[in-house]
Amino acid sequence: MTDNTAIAYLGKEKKTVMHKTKSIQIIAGFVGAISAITMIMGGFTLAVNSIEVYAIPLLLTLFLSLTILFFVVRYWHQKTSSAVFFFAFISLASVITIMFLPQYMQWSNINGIIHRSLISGVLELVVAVPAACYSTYYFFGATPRADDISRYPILIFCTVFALSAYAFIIYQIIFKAAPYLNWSVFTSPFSSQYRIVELWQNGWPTFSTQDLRQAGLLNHILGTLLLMGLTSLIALPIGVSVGIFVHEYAGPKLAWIINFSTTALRSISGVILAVTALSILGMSRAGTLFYKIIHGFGYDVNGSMQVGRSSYLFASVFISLLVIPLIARATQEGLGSLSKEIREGSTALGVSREHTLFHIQLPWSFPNILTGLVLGCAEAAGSLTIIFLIAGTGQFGVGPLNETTSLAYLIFDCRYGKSMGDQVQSLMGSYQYAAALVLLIITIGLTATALILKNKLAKRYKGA
Amino acid sequence: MIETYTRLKEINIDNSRKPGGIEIKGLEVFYGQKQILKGIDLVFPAGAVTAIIGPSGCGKTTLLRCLNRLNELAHGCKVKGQILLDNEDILKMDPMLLRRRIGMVFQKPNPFPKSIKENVLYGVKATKRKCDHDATVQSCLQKAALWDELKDRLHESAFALSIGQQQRLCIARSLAIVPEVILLDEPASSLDPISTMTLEASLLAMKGEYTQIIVTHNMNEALKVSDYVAFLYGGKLIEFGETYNIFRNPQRQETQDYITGKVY
Amino acid sequence: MKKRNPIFNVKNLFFILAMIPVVALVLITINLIIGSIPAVKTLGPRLFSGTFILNTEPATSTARDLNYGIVPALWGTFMVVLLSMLIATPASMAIAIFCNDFSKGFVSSAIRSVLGVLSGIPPIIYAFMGSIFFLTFFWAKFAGKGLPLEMLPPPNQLPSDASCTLLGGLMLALLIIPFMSPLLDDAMQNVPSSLKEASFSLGANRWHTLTSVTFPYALPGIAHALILGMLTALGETIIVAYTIGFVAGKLPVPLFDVLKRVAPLTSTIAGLSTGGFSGMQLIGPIGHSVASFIGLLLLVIAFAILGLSGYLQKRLKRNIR
Repeated sequence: MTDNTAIAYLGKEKKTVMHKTKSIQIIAGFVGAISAITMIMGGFTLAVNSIEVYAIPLLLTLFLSLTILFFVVRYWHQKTSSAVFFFAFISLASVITIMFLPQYMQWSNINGIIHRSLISGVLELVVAVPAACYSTYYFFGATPRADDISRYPILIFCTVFALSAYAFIIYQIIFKAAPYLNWSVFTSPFSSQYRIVELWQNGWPTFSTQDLRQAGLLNHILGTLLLMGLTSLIALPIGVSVGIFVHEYAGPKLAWIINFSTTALRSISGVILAVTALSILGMSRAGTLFYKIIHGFGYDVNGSMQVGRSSYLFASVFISLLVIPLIARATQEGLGSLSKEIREGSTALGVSREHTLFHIQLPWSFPNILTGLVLGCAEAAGSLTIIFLIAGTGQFGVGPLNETTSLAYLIFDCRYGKSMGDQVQSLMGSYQYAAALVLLIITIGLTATALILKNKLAKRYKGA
Repeated sequence: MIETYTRLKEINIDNSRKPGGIEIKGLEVFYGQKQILKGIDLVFPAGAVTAIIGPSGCGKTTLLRCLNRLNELAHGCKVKGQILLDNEDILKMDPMLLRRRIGMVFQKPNPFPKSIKENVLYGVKATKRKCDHDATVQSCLQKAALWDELKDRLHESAFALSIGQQQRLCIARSLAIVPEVILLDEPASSLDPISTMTLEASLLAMKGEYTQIIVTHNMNEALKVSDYVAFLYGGKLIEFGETYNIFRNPQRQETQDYITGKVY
Repeated sequence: MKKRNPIFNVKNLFFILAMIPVVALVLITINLIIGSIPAVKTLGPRLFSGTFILNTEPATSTARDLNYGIVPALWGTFMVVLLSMLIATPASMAIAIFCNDFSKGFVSSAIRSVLGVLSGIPPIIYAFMGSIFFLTFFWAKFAGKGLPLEMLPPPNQLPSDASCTLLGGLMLALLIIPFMSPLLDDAMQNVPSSLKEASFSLGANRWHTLTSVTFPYALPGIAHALILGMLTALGETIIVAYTIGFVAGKLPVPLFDVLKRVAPLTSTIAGLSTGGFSGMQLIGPIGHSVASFIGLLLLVIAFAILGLSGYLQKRLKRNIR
């Protein structure tokens, strides 16, 4: 698109310049203040039912002030602002609607009773946000610059509304996990085992069971870390190879095939990979070594071997399929950012292509690859879609050949537990929030690290 | 300028390598269907500086890149004919071995994203040439007229240098592997006049030790630096001779037109 | 000079490693196709009937007695994706516009950093928080809290189990917003500043420049970001499984009733693969096969959307340059 087209687009610009009449400013300011209050009230009404009592008075005030604004603008500038009129009308209509609605409504078999506050909250927002925009517009004199400023209320409202949802989530996790945060929670492993103890009584051996059950997050934390580590180990060589091969050696068709496959593995639902993992697990014969390796085994307190549902190694192989595209894309970006001339300079010195690759290109791309790796670790730590069908309690040890578990799985298990029926829920149910908090810290920490690395990268191109 | 030249002339990097002469016989180069060079027969005398001049698009850079076989990196390039370096056919040699004997300096300086010292030693380490690293760095930088400015800053990144310094660093880098021939593709086109003067002093000082082939647009540069001039036009060699003769008494009309500025 | 080995060299090593994802994708597709053959053979078009009720009778029932209609699950996926995109698109666009044109350096880089960090939150957290969201915001509005017992409708007409489709859509939207906003932001930043400067120099204000110059130019990038968001919503399993449930029984009677729970395709696959999660439900002899079939369906839909995206990109780019 050339600059000429840009000019053509602007042909419809209307020139509207109004003088900042004092009275318009006062009215507009008043409308703006009322609509700001209404916006906030509307937000709260959506949360709390009882606040809706303020809806009618606020909307009524808004209606009155908008009407006044409409007439004042018309008087001073002979301009009929249809938008202001329209919203004044809507606010009146909302008042009437709310007055005549019952407090609880139900119709047409809908699954629930709708409280009136939902409607009044929505109406408040629908009227207040445009009113805020228009009042700002008139407050600043209805110039094109005022037009710009008038967009702020709606943008700020949407942004704050969206971000507050996340603040709510994080606050709730921290708040609800706080009572359970003590050192023992993080350092003791979960166990639901009973040890069989041999006792001697009156010269005869008897056996009694010793209750060794305890709740703790240690295995899950270590499990999450182990998954991260194994996945990085597998995904890093493959991802970097994909990036190098596509960038350096592949022809266009082959490059397209490889790129498509790599991104497709991420785009198709993760549950498909989970189902494939499940079917492979079902294919192996019980009792063989291969079966034990992919199913994961460990020894319980009594020394007997317990075979689980899937091992860390097996799960990591599938999670790495999701992580490879991240690393491959990062590698390609890194390689692509090195100018062709530098590569030519190396070739002109009589140096082989591989030497250039390993001594110039890969060191240059190292920060990019590192960023991709860190993001991949964050992905692996939080990954549940692959393992939620095949993970277990992981209480028999944490190693590549043990049964898989992770913090994310614990949260899932507590509600939809298949691994041990109710036992997990009863023992660990109250630690869900603590687990969520630790998981949040790990993933947010890794993502923040990756962001910082990216920022450092951007400074590199400025010369030194 | 004369003082710089005499100072630089005294520096010797390696006495064992003698400059090589290049002979081109019947060279034709095609990019896809298009023929760029149409039968070139040319001799570049050993130890001398030869300038290749001609209007844009006449094939100067293509000819230069043939000599170290860098043009093969582009798709669809076909080369016919013979190019002899000291009577060995370049086109039949291992390209990597060839490029260690014929070095290149590019139009736009392209130092590696490494320190100055590592840049100079890159070729040495890659080709596993046995030499004293520090001494090599010092003599190469001296020959490129950079030693006095950079001797305390050898560990700084090469990207921090000015463009003129970067270009001279590229020359130093090529000198480190002690080639027989050095190709220079419009080396001063990115540089300001003072850097150009320093560059030209280095080039003059390398005469006799290296065969230099310079592609240039700048007539003054050709006059100052070169011993021989080859004039290319439309993919063919129009005239070749000693610099003084070409500029004073061009034999062909095309040469005359180009030198006097009627043709660009 | 080392002689180059034609087989054991670096390029071939990279080639072998680089083909691993390709091979994996092919194997997965073949696995799905083979797995769904029994279902297609036995059930045929009944797969697209409207009910999906799993029989809890023991194994005396044959495959013919069970219903495996996936239309409710299709509807569930459609509703959930629609809801999440409806919520997420305006929010991400507002954030992207705000960061790009309407705020100064400090505020916009702060918001960008916050969003970048939020994008790392794993889906399980959103799933887990769903019930709190429901209790805080939805329960009061939809469950007649505070009404005396006789005025309440029968229990099966109340949103049960602290969940509904709307909640799933909302949580998905929360997942997608930090993912889409940076992409939209990048698309808008890549508009060359020379165009914007030309627009300003002609007297246009920022909003007009945004709508007339930035949007049309960035449209391929914006479309790409939205489609990627849609793909993520389509394939997301944990959030929908945790909040909505695993099996969709029937199509909801007022079709657009978002207060009922209609499980999408992804959680249906999960439910079928392990014999059900809530309680012991028999899935019948071809339950696994139906799961593979649904998986194949999802794969095809995802590929179709990817292809559509590529085609759309080309068309849009051609219109602009």
